[in-house]
Amino acid sequence: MTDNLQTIESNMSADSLAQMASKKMKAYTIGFVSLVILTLVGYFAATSSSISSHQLFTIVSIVATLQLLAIVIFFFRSNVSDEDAAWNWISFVFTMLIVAVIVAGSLWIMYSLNYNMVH
Amino acid sequence: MSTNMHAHEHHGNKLLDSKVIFGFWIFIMTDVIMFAALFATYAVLSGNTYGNIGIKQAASLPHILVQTLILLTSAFTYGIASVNSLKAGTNKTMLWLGITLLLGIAFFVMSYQGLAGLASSGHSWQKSAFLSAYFTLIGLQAVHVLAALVWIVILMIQLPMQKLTTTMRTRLACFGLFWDFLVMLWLLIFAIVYLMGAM
Repeated sequence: MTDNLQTIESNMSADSLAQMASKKMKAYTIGFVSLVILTLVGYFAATSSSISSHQLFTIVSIVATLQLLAIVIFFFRSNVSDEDAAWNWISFVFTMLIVAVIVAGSLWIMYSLNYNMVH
Repeated sequence: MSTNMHAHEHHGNKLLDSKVIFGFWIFIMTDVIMFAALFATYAVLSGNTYGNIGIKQAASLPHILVQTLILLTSAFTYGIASVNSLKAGTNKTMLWLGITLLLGIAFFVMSYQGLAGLASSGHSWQKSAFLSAYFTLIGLQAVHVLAALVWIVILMIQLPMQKLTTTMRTRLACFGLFWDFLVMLWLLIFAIVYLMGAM
């Protein structure tokens, strides 16, 4: 406890620190529980015999998207600092743009290549 | 003495060094782009098995589910360590970091066993385009986890020596970003490689 106070007493009260800690704990708990539930939903959809492959594709896509959102909202956001929130956000959006170009572009090109080789 | 004063001037009244954390965030974004390329490669090559095994034979889903749950729990235990670094002090932070380390080791061993088992039973990365893409994607994620485990050990050596200073909190926060990034990668692998592979 004493080593805490040395570094932060000058501009943060123990109260606001405790508040920050409980907010973070809440975010991690919600994130963890929702990620486990989503993982189990995906797993049981994949192992169930009554779900067609088309339905499974839809379910897994939705589950994966929700999991990404949960990680970004509950885990990442409680670790990056508020001061740089705008810059974090801009670099994140830019990265997602590059990722979309790489993944969608590769799949599109390779699909067309396959198609034109056969037809 | 003078270096102490210097450090105090710069970091004495801040909880975290936000510039360092932002820099580390940029590194993670570049790593995301690298893995996007590997995912695209896997998606393109996943059907090219060249007479060897496909994804259904390459891994058992219950094994993968256990791995996923272990990794998710480790992200949560890191969260508790991080919360304790704000209020409770060094000892509790150390305890939860230790639990995170053990869960991380369990995850890495399971990943390694899966890949080593494939390679030793005649399905190495040299056998087909699918296996090359699979070993690269899963192997590189496992190597990242191994690096993170070394990082936890270093943090657990530094923490009792330096206590919870601004520098140590910043290191813990950077590690947290990296660990969450690895969990995110694994969940994408879980969905795209394993669950969609089960169709």
